[in-house]
Amino acid sequence: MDKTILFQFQSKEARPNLKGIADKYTFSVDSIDLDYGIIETDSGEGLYTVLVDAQAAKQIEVYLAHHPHHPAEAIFSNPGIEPI
Amino acid sequence: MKKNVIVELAYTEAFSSDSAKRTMGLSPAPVLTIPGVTLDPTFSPVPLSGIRPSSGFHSIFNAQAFTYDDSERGSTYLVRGEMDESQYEKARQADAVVGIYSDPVIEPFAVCPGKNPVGTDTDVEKLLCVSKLKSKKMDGSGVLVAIVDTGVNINHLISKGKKPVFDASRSWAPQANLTPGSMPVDHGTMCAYDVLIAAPKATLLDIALLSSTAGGPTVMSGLLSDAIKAYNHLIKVKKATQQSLVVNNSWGMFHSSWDFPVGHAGNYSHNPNHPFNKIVGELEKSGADILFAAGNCGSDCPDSRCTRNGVTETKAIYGANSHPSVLTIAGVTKDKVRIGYSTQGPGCITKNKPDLSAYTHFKGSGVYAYDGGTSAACPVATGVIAAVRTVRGYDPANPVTSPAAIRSLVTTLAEDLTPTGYDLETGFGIIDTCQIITKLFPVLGPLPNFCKRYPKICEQLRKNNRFPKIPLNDPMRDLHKPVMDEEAIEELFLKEIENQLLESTPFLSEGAVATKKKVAAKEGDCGC
Repeated sequence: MDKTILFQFQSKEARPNLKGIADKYTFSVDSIDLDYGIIETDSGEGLYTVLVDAQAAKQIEVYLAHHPHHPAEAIFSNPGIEPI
Repeated sequence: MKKNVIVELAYTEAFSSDSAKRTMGLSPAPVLTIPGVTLDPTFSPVPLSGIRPSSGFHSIFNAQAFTYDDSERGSTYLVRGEMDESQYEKARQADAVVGIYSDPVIEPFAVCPGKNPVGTDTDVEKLLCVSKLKSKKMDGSGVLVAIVDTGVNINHLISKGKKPVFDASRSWAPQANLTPGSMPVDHGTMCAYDVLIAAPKATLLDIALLSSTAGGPTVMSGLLSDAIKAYNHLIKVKKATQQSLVVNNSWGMFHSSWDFPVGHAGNYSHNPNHPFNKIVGELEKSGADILFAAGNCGSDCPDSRCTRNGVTETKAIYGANSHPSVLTIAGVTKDKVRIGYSTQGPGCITKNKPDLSAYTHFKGSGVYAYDGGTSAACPVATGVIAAVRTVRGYDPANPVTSPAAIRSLVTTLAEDLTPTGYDLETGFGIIDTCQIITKLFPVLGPLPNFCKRYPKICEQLRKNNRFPKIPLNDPMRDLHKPVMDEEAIEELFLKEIENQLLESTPFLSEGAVATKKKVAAKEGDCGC
């Protein structure tokens, strides 16, 4: 399954690990794109981004629907981009 | 030679019936003939009110000197047709003909894709006051400029007479098999060339984002997740160096159908929480100047990619291209006319976008027939920012050097193109390098005026060695490092008066000194 869906999450750990994320949001660690890794997107708010597959995306959405979370924690679009 | 003409006709009885009035007798059976003129029966005649003098004095410059005559008989009627130029006099003599005028082809003024280039990069160089930039050593030396695009071909730049400084070690590509700096000659190389117009000594970083084959719709495309990765790399570069970093982005998302709908938590175009919009803010916070092209979806002639499923989207600048922490660049020709395909605002994240305009649609890099669109305008502006950074490098301890301060500097000094100030087509106006130079290097100009106004004080100051000794006719005068600005001179002047007053009359009260200073300043002589 393509791992092309952006998932941004908040972590208080300085170096969040993939296993910990998968466990917290209840999906398999195999759903994460390991080559892409974890990218810090906002150091002030402790936000990070990974690429996941559609199966994980569904499970994350279910998790977020039932748990309080940071407003920037979500599954995000990963649109095509082109030179202007 | 056949010419299109407008014929002005007087009213005649032949047109008195209702149907004749509608067609001026041109159809169905034309009753009106003008020798040498083939009239266009599909063009409804346009009545033109007559003018009746209301007093003895008749002038179009004095509206009160005549009144309009809307009556059927008082009006004239405009029809159009085609005639041979040689038949003009004959046709002009025909009954009912009041005048025959040229009816030239007209076109929108907008410069659109495919139109011939307007000027060359040499014209742009002049407009950007590059020779002045050079004289102030504002050439991009020591400044990193990241070209986030399809990749740069350094050899092409060299073949075009540029002498680029390239940093391969801090460049980046989404795949290991790609070699930054040796990418195919394409869009990214054009951007690099245009940066070098104002900043020929900038250090180029090739961030070959759009060479990714991660699933975008065309060869030169990628996914926004690649851009997050590229920006993560740039943050690391910035944090590891004291050098200024300017980031050029002549790319974007063309249509909302590529995205989640507006209002969806995962939307990109309107959502400051999207990871890419977050990381753009993060890179700016680290001290980088970030510039984005406004887009090529201008309403006069939008790029074909602005249309999907029959829906053309204009007047919207999506996502990071409208981020509050970036400069969004619209495009104008060297004649200071907005190109018809430059996307107008508002922005979807920050309403007042674009911020600025820069020159585009000129013959330049040789990559294409012309360097066009906001794609070329953006690196032209990026070059100017890099030039500014040569003399105002980023220093986290000095707020005047923050990216926000640089954005403020260039927007406040822009050459406004409209009488109303900011507008959603060209922003605050065209980036004005000459004004920026004047702002960054004031001084020296006031000295001659000051000495003319206060000759005695000036003489005294010169004797005391308080002025820089640069002859006024020294051709290199402009290049000397400024010693003091106008305010400093005034301050020095008043201080000098005070010293002299106190020397001559040491027991004067503070109030008396202040009064004497005022008088002295007014008269240009302390009378000491």
